[in-house]
Amino acid sequence: MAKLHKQYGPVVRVGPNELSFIKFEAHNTIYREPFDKSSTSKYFSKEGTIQDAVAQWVFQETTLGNELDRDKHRRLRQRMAPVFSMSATMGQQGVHSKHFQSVVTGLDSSYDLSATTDLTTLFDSMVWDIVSELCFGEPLIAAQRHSFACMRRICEHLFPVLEMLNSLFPWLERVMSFLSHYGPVKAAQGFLIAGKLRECIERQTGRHNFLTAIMGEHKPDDCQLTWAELYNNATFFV
Amino acid sequence: MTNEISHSALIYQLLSNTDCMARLQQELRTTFRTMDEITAEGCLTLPFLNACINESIRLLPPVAGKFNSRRCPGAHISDVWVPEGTQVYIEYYTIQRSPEYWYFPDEYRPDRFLDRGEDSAYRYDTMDAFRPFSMGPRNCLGQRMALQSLRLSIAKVLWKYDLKLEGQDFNWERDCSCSAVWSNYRLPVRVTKVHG
Repeated sequence: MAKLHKQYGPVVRVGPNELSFIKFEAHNTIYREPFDKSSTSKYFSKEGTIQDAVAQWVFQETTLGNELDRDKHRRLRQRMAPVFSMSATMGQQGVHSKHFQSVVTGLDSSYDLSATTDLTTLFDSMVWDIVSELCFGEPLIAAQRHSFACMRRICEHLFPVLEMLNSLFPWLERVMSFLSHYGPVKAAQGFLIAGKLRECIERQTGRHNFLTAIMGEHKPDDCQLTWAELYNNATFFV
Repeated sequence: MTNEISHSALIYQLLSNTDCMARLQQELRTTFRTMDEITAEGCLTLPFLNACINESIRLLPPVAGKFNSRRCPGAHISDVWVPEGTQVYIEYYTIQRSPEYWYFPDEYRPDRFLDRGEDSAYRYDTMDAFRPFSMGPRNCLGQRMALQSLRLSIAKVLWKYDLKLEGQDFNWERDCSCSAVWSNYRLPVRVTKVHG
């Protein structure tokens, strides 16, 4: 893309129906504010993009990542915002310290053995434990990380192919969105069995993590989100 | 997923720019006497640490612009009329390395985030072109948490250890691909323990 922009300038048509920009004014136009704040107006929406189609396949329920309705998205975001505040973030550093210990153990071992170590592996494992604890209230097991890694590798290989096909056949996204209603891949379901999620929720009293933010002020049995919505949103953050 | 990429990208940049690594380690080791002193509050105010993080995210933003595509409702974008239904996005990697906005755009120079005075070489750098977490109603909600995690991890690792990249054949820009997020990156290092 950098080479294309160097050759053709700040706007490049990269597909029959696709433009890439590298002007900050364009960034402001596309992302900063709703194009028009009235609820009936048109705006720059994620709906109809190949990324949206993939999200519809992965997540069965509404999440912060795939909710397209502006008002619903704003409400969902407002519900979760407190857990991302400055004070809440500062309060999460204990979780970081706890899981950073695995990096220390790995580097100490490498030093003792005078061996080479791959820091990416140590960082990947640490971030996985931190984020999954913040999302579900406890670290997810290694097997779930393996599932996630597999899904990530599939996406890395699949995405360029999907992009290419979508450039050639712009209707592909609509077909995928349509089919997602009938055959979601249930990738989000691979992390945690539903019964365990209920146990996690019941252990959340007094805690401040993503899960309690998603639940809002509601008790588990009185939560306005369904179990599936809770589950998918927690998974989205992972 | 993006946070772990940012961890590796930052260490890669520092290992590739040894002057910056030395300067950052000096800042960390003169500020903190023990590992327990390295807190989120303490790291938040370290100028060179935060400049190093920003500069790394500028050069290697974890998410590809295309991942943030939108459908245009029919509008002028940067003086270009774009019809309704066109897929549009900002190419973060390219805009954050554009010579129109950055002095020595492809070089790792954390000072551009510190030295903004009239005599600075970076006085014409355009910070509006630095949007690694996007902006607006769908910007990255977890950016504060991601930055805090980066500050703490990097500060603790570089305070406690000296690192050396093993093998000189890896080049992030050349060897990694980025369709949605970066892939194929690695950081084989040799470790020397400085603090027990």
